[in-house]
Amino acid sequence: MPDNQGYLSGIRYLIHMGAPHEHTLPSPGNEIRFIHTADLHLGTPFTGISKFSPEFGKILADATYQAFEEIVSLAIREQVSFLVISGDIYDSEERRIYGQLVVRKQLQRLSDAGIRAYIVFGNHDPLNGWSAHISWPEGVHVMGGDAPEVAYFPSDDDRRAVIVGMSFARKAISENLAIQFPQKGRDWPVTIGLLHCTAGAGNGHEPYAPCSVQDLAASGYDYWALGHIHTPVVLRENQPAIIYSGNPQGRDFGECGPRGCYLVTLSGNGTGVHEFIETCQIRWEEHEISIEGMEDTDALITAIEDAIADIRENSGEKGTICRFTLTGRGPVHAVLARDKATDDILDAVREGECPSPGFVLTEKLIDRTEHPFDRESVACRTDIVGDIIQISDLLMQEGDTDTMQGALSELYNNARMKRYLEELTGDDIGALVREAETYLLDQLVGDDAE
Amino acid sequence: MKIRGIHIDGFGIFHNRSLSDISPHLTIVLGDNESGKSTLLVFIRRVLFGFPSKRKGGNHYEPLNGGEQGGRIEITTDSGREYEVLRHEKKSKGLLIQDAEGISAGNTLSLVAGGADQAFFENVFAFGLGELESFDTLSDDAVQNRLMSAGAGATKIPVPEVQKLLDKRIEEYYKKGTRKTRVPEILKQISETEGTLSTISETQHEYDSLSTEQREIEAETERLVAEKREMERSLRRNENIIQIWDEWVTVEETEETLSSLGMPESFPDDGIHQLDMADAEIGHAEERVRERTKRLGEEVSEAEKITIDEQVFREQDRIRTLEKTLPLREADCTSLPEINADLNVLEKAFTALLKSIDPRWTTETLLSFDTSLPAQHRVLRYQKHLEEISTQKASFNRELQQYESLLSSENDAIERRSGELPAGISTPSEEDLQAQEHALVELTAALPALEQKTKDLSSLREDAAKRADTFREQAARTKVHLPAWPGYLMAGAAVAGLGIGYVTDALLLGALFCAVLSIAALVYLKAAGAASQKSPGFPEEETSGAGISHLIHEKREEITELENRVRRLAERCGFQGIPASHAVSERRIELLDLRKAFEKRTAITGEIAHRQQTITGLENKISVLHGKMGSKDTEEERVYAEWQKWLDGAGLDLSLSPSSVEIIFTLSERAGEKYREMHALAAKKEEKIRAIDAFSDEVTAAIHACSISPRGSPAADVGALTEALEEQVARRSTQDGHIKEIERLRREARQEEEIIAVKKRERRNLLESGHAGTRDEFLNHAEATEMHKECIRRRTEAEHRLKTAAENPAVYDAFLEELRQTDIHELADINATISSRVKEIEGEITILQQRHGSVAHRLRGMENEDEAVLLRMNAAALTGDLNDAARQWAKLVIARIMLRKGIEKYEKERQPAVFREAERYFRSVTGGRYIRVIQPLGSDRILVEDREGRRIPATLLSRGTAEQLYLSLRFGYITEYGNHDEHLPAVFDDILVNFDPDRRQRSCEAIAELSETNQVIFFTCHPDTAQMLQSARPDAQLIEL
Repeated sequence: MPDNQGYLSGIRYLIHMGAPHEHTLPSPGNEIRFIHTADLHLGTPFTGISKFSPEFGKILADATYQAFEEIVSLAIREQVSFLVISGDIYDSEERRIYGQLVVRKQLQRLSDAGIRAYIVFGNHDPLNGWSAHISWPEGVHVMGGDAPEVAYFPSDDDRRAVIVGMSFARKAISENLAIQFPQKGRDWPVTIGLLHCTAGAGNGHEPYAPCSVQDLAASGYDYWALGHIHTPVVLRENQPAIIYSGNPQGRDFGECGPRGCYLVTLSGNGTGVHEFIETCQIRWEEHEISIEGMEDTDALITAIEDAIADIRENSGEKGTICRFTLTGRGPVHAVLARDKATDDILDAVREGECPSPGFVLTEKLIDRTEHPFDRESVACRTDIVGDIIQISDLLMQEGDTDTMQGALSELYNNARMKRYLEELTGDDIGALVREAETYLLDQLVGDDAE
Repeated sequence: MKIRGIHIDGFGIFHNRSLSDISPHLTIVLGDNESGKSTLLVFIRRVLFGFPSKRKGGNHYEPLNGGEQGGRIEITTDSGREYEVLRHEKKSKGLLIQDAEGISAGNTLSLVAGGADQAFFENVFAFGLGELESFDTLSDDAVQNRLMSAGAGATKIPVPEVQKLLDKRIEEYYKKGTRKTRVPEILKQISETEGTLSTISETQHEYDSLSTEQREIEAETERLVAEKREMERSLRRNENIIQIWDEWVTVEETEETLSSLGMPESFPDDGIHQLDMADAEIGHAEERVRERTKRLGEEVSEAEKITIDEQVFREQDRIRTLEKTLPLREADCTSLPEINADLNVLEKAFTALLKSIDPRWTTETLLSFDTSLPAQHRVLRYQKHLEEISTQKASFNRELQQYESLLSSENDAIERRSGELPAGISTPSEEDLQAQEHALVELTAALPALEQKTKDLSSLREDAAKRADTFREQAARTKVHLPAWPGYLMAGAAVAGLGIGYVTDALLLGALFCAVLSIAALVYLKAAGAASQKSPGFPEEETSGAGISHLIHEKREEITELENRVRRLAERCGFQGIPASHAVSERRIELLDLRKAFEKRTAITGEIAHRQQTITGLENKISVLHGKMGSKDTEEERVYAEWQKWLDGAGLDLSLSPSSVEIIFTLSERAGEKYREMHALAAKKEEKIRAIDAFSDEVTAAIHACSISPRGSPAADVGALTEALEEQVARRSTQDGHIKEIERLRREARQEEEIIAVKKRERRNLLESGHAGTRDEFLNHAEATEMHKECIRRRTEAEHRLKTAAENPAVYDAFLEELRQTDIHELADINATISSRVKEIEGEITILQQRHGSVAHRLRGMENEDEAVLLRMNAAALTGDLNDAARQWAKLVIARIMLRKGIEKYEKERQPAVFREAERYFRSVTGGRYIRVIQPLGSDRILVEDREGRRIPATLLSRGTAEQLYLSLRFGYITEYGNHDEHLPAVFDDILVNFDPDRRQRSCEAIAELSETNQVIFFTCHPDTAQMLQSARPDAQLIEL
């Protein structure tokens, strides 16, 4: 399983799926090699990021397409037999024409290289969504949505593998599709199941087509190529291997970690290996930087630049979008408290960064720093400074959010704004209280609180 | 902060005024009206907080007595730091704060005054009666802000300002009903982006229909293009026919003409032209022949007219030579007088030189005088030698003089020193003197010894007597035996010491040593003697008297010996007998004088001897020099003799010196040069004369040979000869010219005739080639041939154009047939119709292309998804910005809530502290009549509560009581402010005038109490008030203006 803590692009993790012959790799003669990918979400915009330059915007806009192109190139390089895509090729039911043309173009490359493609659609691109009339290249098989469909590779007459799949006929599928899949036939060679579903917990995704690992294992297939969960995860190592390939390109800070596809090799006796291969063009990283011990913003900028340099060094020429949360106490806090200070620092660290291989785009600087003084001793002051800290504590303890919610409803309950504004939870209010306290103390006393 | 001193440069009535004895507690400034009390108060305010603009009204306290408006205040902060606050009205000077060392500490008043500003300070701390009378000044917002901030403890920004800042920041982000804030603006951007996206999404569905439409447009366009192409082809074909119709007609016509035209078999190309050319050339040639013939006759005639004189030609060379040499000969004639003149000059110079060398000299003498280099060197050697000798002799002379001078001075010195020898004193020799001195020393030592011995002897004798008596007494008591040998040993040592002192020239020491030991020996022996008398065990001592007698005897012998010695010594010293001590001392002095004289004499004689040695040396040197001089003289005479001999040999005056002879050499050389020059010039003159004569002879010969009459001078003759020759030469040349021309003309005439013959032959051939015998016939044939060619040409051209119009050679015949069948008049109408249709088709195609472009553009837009993805990403980014902005707004709103709560708490819990302080002061000042001061929440009214519990608004109090209340409130503010910020000095300007004596007294006590925490400077013109203050605060400082 790839290490989520680090980025080791190009390094393959060989997972042995075998039993009964534990140390036997499949013989080259009757093995089937294919690429498993899913959740391409072509054309999806990156979310949760702040404004960027048009040059970077172009790169971000192309990222998902680039990742898919990389997968197709990989398939051609590895001379696999076919490519399976487990749903959510597109980001919406309204398939973008550009996306469709890209898919067509890449599938045409596969077709030209003699590689087939087996596709199921998911909740984001169900069959009842709109698409332009663009003909698929030869060798592309799209599974229907009425019932699981069986396709033979390479043909009905020459059956070296069986792919069974089912697309989402509509967006919200709440029934268990897995149990509708037929059992593996006695004369079936290696059988691959292709499904966009929620197997197990779901990890925050919508629980479409829910099923259990047992439901999938019961089919007797050799491999389940699943889609819907964006983080690559192996639910089951073997007999059968049940794997979510994850999306080949992370789209926001919630999708950090390596993203890619699986190169799977199955032999006729059921043994096989699956290798995770990173294909993302852009990574997401979040870091914390403490201002402890820093005397001025130059030190802070230097620390940020050092962190950026480390990221760049470890990036393997992939682009990185990073976010730094500034923490700790120190005199630099007073500078950060000034209006647009973090924006200015952000501009400074972004300066000179251009969309070239190995770029590191600092998306945001989040100021969570605090005053250098001891809050407890300042709270004992018998003046408004101490009062404010006490009031802040009181608000936190009593959870007196009603007053604040009432004051904030003017904006947050505004009909036009509500669509776009995220609701403030209790934790959010609490964090805001602390930020408000910091802000007030900055204004009232600066660094001279003690 | 406390004021230590005030220094005014110029302000109002003050100039260069200082107040330095200001108490850190209470200072009373007492002065009459217009003594400057208010001026001082205002000065303090202005230095701390600045000078108002001159444009504003009011008293600016211009310096009335000079100085620069402004000054400085020395202050000490609560933390103990000392500063000087300087300010002058001139902006360039501004506020300057310096520390104790004079180093600038900046120009921020908060450094010393904390958070107070001018309004606050003037209304709360530094005020007069006017401010006191009105409570409004205390309720001023600026004052209240400062008080609140002071109570709040904030030092950076006052709380109300923070409130305002919050409100402003909140509204920057969002304000209900306002669109020009950040959040609505972001929302607007999001809406616009989504609108654009929506448009893009809507158009996406048209993709298929647009694709179909695109294909239909392309098909229809293709069809119309094909139709147009076909029509254009027909049109072209018809236009082609119209264009080449004339050609077709031409072909028909030329065919007809050719068939009717008769033509010779052949005809030369360009025959007519050739014929014309031939005729023209023949004509030209004949014309040239005629011309030449004519000119030939003329030339012959001219040539026969010219005659040549051969004689002159024969003399040609001679005449040329004479012509060339004539200028030289004329120059020679011209230069002869000059040469003669130069020759005379040279002769005179030469003669003068000879005379200057020696009047007796002749030319032969000069020529025979050897001026060669060897001769010159010889003379030089003589000169050098003689000079050398002279130099050496001069040196010897100088040396000699020097020595003689030294000799004289030495002799003088000897004479002088001899005169210094001591006279009248006969000094002994050194040995005698030394012997006397030694003897005297010994004598000096011996005399006391002798005296002592003598005394000893006396003592011995006395002692002997006594001892004889006592010995007997003691002998019975004690029998002690002391050996005598130690005593003798000591005596011997004494003598040895003396001898050693004598030998080592330490006679005095030796004598002393000897004396001491002698005495010791004597004492011992005496004791020993006494002991032996006492002790019966001492066989040597028979009786004390015998021992003593022995000693006495010995002593006597010693004395005798010593006396003898002393006499000898005295005799040596020149005494008779044994001298007294004083005589010895006198002798010592004499010997010292003698010693001095001896030494002096010795020194002088020594010096004289040394000088004599020097003299001897000098005399020797002089003698040597004289010898050298003699040698040099001898040598000089020898060399001079040689020189004389040489002069004689050279024929020169014997008195000449070598340097003079050098001059003679120079003159001789010059004279020699002159002579040579003279000789050369004479030779030149002779040569010129010879050349002139020869030339004249030659000219005469030539004249005769050419039979020309002489002209009287060689030059004229030569001119005549030259003219004659030139003339003949010209004639010959002209004649030769004619002859050449005649030959040329004949040659050309022959050539022309040959050309004519050739051309006639060619003409005959041309006519034959055109099958003609005559020119006319030939022309006729030419015309016919031309016509035939023209027809052929026209026909060929027309056919070529027809073939071009036909385009394809394979269909040419069919084309021709078509032409035959075509009615040219109908064709134009057909073409007009076709053109019209083509235009229609073009219009339709244009419309279709525009439509196609539009559809393609829309399709491309859909296929190039960049804009939509970027827009969606922008929308997502804007949404993120919106949430960030909303969050910022929320943070600020919460901050405002918190700040409000803080202010409420301050108003509820802390502000009363001010009133508690004020209450205390007010109670004290009013003597307890009023016990409370109240400000209800939410109200700016002040109430006072009397001891009966009645609450009375401040506005209803009497003036004096109200002033006391306001004063108490100020005290409360001052006290409370000091709890949180810098203690500022309170400056009061006669604020108690409206108080009755009792309350005034209590107010003074309150002021005294205030001065415990804050410095108070009280200005007054009332001495009783000053006394009250001093009573309340005995250590108060009083300053009288």
